[in-house]
Amino acid sequence: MPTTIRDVAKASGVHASTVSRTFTAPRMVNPETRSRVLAVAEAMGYRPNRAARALITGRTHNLGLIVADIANPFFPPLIKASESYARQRDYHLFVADTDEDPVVEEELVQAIARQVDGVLLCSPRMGNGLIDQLGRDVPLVVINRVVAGLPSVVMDVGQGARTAITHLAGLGHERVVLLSGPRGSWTNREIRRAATATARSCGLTLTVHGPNPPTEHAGAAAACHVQRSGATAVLAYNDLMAIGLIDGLMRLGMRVPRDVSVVGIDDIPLSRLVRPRLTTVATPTAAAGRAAVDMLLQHGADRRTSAKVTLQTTLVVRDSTGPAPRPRRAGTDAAPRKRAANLTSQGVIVMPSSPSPAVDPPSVARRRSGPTRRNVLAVLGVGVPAALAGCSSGSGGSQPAAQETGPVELSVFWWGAQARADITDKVLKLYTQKHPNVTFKQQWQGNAGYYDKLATMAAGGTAPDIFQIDDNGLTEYTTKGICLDLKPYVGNHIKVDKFPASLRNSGVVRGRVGGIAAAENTPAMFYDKTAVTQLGLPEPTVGMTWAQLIDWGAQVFNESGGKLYGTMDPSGDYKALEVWLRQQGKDLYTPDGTFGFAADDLTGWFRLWADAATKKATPPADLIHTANSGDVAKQLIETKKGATSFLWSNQLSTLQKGTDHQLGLVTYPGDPKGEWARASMYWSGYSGTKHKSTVADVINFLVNDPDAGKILGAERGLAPNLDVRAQVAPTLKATDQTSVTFETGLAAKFGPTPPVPPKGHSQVKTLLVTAAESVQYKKATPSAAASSFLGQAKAAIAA
Amino acid sequence: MAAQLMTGPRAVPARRTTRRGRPVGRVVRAVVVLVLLCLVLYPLVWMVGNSLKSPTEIASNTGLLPKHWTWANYHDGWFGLPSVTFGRFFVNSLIVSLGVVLANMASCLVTAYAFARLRFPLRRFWFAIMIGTLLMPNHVLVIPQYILFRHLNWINTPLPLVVPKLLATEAFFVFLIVQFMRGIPRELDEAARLDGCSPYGVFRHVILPLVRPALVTTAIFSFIWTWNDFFSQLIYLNDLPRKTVPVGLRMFMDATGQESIGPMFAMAVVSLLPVFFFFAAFQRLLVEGINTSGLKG
Amino acid sequence: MALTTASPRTPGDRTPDRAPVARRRGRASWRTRERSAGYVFLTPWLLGLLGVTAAPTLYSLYLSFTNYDLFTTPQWVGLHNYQRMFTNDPQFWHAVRVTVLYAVVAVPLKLAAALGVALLLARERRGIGWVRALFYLPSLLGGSVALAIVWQAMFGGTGAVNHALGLVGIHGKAWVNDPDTALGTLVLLGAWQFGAPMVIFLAGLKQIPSDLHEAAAVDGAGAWRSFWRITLPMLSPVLFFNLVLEVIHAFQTFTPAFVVSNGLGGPVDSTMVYTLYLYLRGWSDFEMGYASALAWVFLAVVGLLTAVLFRTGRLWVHYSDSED
Repeated sequence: MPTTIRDVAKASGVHASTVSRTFTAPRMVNPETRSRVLAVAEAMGYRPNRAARALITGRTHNLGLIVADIANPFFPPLIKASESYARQRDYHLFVADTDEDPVVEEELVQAIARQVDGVLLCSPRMGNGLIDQLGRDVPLVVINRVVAGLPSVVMDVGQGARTAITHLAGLGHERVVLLSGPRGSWTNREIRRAATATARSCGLTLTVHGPNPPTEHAGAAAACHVQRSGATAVLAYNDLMAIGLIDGLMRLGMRVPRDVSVVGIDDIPLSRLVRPRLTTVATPTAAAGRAAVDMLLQHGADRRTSAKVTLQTTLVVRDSTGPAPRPRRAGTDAAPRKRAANLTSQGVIVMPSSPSPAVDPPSVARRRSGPTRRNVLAVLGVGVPAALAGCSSGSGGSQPAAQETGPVELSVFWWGAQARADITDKVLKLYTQKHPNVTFKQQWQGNAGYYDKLATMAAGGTAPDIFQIDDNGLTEYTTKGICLDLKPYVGNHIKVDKFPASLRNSGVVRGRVGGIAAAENTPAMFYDKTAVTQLGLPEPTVGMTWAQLIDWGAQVFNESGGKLYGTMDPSGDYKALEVWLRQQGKDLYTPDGTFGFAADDLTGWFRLWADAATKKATPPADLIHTANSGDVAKQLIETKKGATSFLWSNQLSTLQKGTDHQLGLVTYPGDPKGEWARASMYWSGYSGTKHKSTVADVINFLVNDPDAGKILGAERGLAPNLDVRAQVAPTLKATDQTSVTFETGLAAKFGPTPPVPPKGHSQVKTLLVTAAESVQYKKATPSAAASSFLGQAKAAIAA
Repeated sequence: MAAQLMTGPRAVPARRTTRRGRPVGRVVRAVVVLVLLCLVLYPLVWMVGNSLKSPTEIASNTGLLPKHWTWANYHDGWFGLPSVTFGRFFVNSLIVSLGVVLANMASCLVTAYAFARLRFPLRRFWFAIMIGTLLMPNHVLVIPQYILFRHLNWINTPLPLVVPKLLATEAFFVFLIVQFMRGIPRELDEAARLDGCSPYGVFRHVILPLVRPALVTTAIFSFIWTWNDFFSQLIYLNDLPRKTVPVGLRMFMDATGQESIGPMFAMAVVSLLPVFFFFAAFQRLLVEGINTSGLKG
Repeated sequence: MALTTASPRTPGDRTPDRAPVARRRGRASWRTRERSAGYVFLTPWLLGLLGVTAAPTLYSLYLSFTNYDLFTTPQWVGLHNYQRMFTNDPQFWHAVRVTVLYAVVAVPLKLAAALGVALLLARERRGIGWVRALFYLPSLLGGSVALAIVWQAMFGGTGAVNHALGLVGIHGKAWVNDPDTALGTLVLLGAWQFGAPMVIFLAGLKQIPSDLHEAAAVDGAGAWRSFWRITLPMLSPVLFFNLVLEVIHAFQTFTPAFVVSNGLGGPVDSTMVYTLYLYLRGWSDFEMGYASALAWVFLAVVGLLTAVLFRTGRLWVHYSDSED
């Protein structure tokens, strides 16, 4: 029979009620008596029956601790601290996990309310009203949230966010993304409020992305949004998201902190272990746990109180933050230092090497200012188009995943005509035949309005999974994050090892693979073989100089008695200008996205053709203008107004169809090293697609599969895969075979691939046409046209 | 009263004047009309002529009429796309156009009644706003509207093209009907009112019967303009079988060679036919519609 | 609106002999019902305004103060777009000049063509409906893609116009491809599609009581005099209506320039009209913020112009009492 309270009372010579009080209300018992009773009880092996005691006293000496996610490293220190602190006070702590679910949270509180004396509700996701109501049933202390009428313990994350933003401003960052946490989180709201206000006062632009679940997964998934936003720094709701984000960013080929600085919140142990070690706002979680237990025990009886304990936070600077990349303005170098000076007073701990998070932060005066209208608008702005542009959910980042096996429907979008539609349909059907779970929704239309439609769909978040794109849009769509970065897939899902070297990297824009070359193409000068032969003149050859071409053109005009102009004037053709510049060791664009030539060069180019016009080697301006449209039907060799046209090598068969004269093709004049193998167009995936790996696989199929190659022929240009091209060549039409021969013959002579054009390239192209035509129409001198072109074009690529 | 309002009594003196016209004047007039008609229609006849030329002849013969007539372009254009014929585009265009016609008639009518006949607070303000919506260049509104309709899941359906018209977003027609209604004498309202009609009763029994010509005008202009509208139909319709005539016509333009120009002309000509007959059949009503629409003030 | 409210007469003015008491009582309740009914009838339009029109319009106003590239979050830049437009964008001013030039020439030409043909076709006779329809035909073509090629065939170097000129010994140039004349061909294109104002003129002409002309003829006035003294004044409200709408139309002109110049505004920017420039900025150069600013400047200027037209209209538009 177990020892009873009466046995203990008898043995220690006191009344049973004293023994009871010794255990239930030790303070009401004389210390000497208390220690005697306890010693006796110990010796006799007496333990108060808590359940029975609860029946009498109404108290269980149990506490509940409800946390949102026990797997979140933020919580264990808090749990441990509260647990040991409760035990010191003779209370037992039961921990329950709600899995971030407000419904589970409510159920749990109700379920354990009868079995505990009070509940510590940590980072609740319920609404305040519900918490308040539950607080009427059981004593509650809320951690990480302020609920009127209930005691609470909060960590001053607002101050932490302020310090973090100031820190980023000090490093010269101007565009910051706040990765917002879960909806309903008080902490999240505090962080956002403080970060927005601070961003405003520091003069930097802050955009909010979220709400997100507070997981590393969500962090990784946000990487593409961050990349697209062009921001150089991110403040994440917690360390987990920050760590996930770093991982996601690295997969996208961005480096932390070189390209993007990342700050977390919480200072979980993991944040010291990841590389780069995470700069974070340390929150005193253990202290919070202890304070909460204290409050619960203090206020247990007195339920309606708004007592609040606020604990200070500290910024711990480690390796994940660094100076902003490439300061835009000259003055920004000085600015960070000036701002950094302010930091010392704001509770920042700079940790150059081995970390040991400091806990005693100097307190910072709270400055509160509400969000201004501008910030509100900025936040609203995120709400509409950017959010819709939609990062992928699900597989987070762009990690190559195993091939999907469930049914997948991909939308594919391209411009073209019926012939292209036929073969594309056929080739996609072939894919479905090989992968029956993948079907396609095809959308195609003429060139007219293609980019309007694509832009609208992308802005509306409904871009097709796979789409065709060319140099007019590649840079824009890649830097804005519409194109899926295919980098993680290149080499495994998408093979490019059989591509010519210059095609392998042709779709790379600033470290991202925005597209995979769908076909190869080279600018070519076509000439009217029949007419030239009739005139008894030699055919143009590869490597003839520009001057020779012009002289030859003048001969054609004279020999034909003025009926046939010798050569098209390609001065408005960016391809021609680029080749011409490269032959002189210059470039159209430099790798850092500016012009690789000066006004003098361009003046020389325009003058070359102005002279050609006076020699009658080139036709009058209106004929050039008509041909500048690029329409095949309007080319001089089609209308038989001129002996040459400057186009793309793969257009031979289309051109040949429109004329009864025999056509020939050579490179653009000058040393062929000025030319290189280019992508006529690319296949791109949409960054918001749900089927990234399948998209990659389909693209791989389109460019590498021999059967696909046979179907596609040379319609978009020559197959990018050299093996496929060799296999396909014999099956092509004679004119297409000529293109292949031409291209193959040139391969050895090609020069290096120039950098991908900067954004604004398509505007530059039209500006060049306008400038060239203004010379041709004699509206401007070559030098005036060149300088006015550069003025506008520089603005276009800088914007 | 309604009869007087129509053209009835005025048509009689008009005819009398005609009879009195001098023969010389009539001949001169007829010749002038004929010459003008030739000038105005020349480009169209040229287009029809080209639609009957073979691809090679289009390139070589820039004249008005073909040397060798061929209907091949019509066949090639109509059956140019393997999965759908041009007829499908016609059906789609008809659905959209008729939907817009009905929507515009209903919504612009009630809106115009409010503006023209009822006095309520902020009337002038709203009217100015309505006129203001006529002036906004459309291109900057496309993206926000697209996002809106995407949220409603209406992309790739005719709904974004028709439903907004149900909400009287075509200010031009509201304005037109307002002008018309202001030409209807107020005494009619007054009389109906004294007979105990509510504003709804006046609308139902007085305005509705008299406003029919303006509605016809609205219908015809709605039909023609929707039939020709390219941009919004391009944006909102995705699948080939859902596309409309203007979008379908643009599909010929990418075939970067001569051979697609013939079918394109052929289909352009064919696409004119429904609107032409629609107009020819209703032009009498159209003229009468505007005739009585009180533009004179 | 001023077209018809110039002689506002309340019904009461006209019926002074009605019983005042009964009328007042009727009016009181009518007034309240009118107010609610006004908003009932206005509901669809208000819904459309709020749901479809206002939000995008106001959003574009917001965008006009931002850098917005269509895909990423708009960045607030304050008045920068407007500042750039007026101080640092020669193409903007060029587009303004082209558009004003177009409007100044195209509006009178189109109205003259429409009025002229309407005068010729005003009289009712057998088959006149078909003739009217034929004149309307070019307008039915709208912005069809075929137009680009047709216009090239008419006004190109070897086009029909030069053939005709060649007959009288003039060697014409490639009108549509010449920066000096390309805009002119667009003006002709606009004037060629004169169907809508023609129909409205026809309606106006039919509305002029013929006894006025008869009276003039009796007084010995010739056709010319009769036109200036009777037809034109009587037609002035319709003329005014067409003027207002065609001015708005001309400033908004987009499709002809877009179609004929392949969407580029060439040659040498000679057909770069305002809305085409706006479109290219927003959709080709991904500067939707700047395009929105362009749109709002456009709205302000054309709105002002319309208001001025309404004001000056009062000076020359002859309103007759139509409620007879």
